[in-house]
Amino acid sequence: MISDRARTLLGLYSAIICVFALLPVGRSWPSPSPRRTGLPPEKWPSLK
Amino acid sequence: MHLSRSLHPYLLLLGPGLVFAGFFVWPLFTLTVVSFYDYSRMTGIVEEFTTKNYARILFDEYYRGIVFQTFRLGMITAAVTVVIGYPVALYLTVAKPRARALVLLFVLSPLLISVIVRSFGWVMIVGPRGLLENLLSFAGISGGNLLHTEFAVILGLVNVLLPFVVLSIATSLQAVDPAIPLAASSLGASPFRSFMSVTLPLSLPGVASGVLIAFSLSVSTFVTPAVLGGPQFKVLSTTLFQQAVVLQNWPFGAALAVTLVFIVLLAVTLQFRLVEQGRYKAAFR
Repeated sequence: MISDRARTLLGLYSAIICVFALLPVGRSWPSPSPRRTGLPPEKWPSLK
Repeated sequence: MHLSRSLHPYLLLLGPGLVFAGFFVWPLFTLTVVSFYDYSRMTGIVEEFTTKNYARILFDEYYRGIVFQTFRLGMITAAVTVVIGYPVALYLTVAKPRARALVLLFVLSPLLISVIVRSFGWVMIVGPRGLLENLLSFAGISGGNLLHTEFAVILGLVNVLLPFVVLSIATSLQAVDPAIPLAASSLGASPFRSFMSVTLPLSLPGVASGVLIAFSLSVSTFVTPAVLGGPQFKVLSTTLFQQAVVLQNWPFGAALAVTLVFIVLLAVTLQFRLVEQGRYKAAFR
């Protein structure tokens, strides 16, 4: 049927896909409020 | 009075059938009727028969583009989801029970969280100053802000729809008798060959229903294109929301909704033709 090596590779791939599936669920990258960075408003990043 | 035995199944269907007729068929019917009404900015809905709403969708460059964009989104999402999900489904059928339970748990767990929350999760990752932009700028590459692009919408949709597709393919892979690929191996086929000419064709019905689920859910999704696509990214669902709720043009919104239903019906019919009728032909050619 399927070799042990192929199964291990598929398992590793599945683990990566699990991370992809959960990526937006966990605590995301801290995206600090522009106010807290101490930058003047004209240097705040544009939303566009 | 004694009811004949052959009537009993229909009696069982009566309850769900009434709910289906009253809450699905009837609203869909009124929606279709409204889609043929006229609309005036001064007086609102004008109850006169007209086909101009559909003519607008078919012949106006802008709305035809939206229909095309919706199709494109559905097809790309379905294709990407199947390509990403197939190996996972295959792993689920060959893995040891513990690993299988773990992977299944992780693949399914995103379904516990609302699509809206997950879409905003992607905003945090692909948005301005998000994870992706920070990582890329750390490596000296610019352009990590992918918010309000088609790529972001597809990324969000693939993430949302992956569990459905993985489950649908895994079900059809599990239905494959393990003796058949074994027989192929005993006749001298390499593992790759036995997968390509035995297991893969036998799992095609599951792939087709996975494609159908991914396509019909992604053409009708509203939250993901609205949040990740932004105001510039127009698909049928966001446009019909705008027409019906913001502009109060119910007849045109209804026409867009009927078009959307039609697209999904088309996909279902196509899937039925391909899978149900040619099932064994495709599998044992």
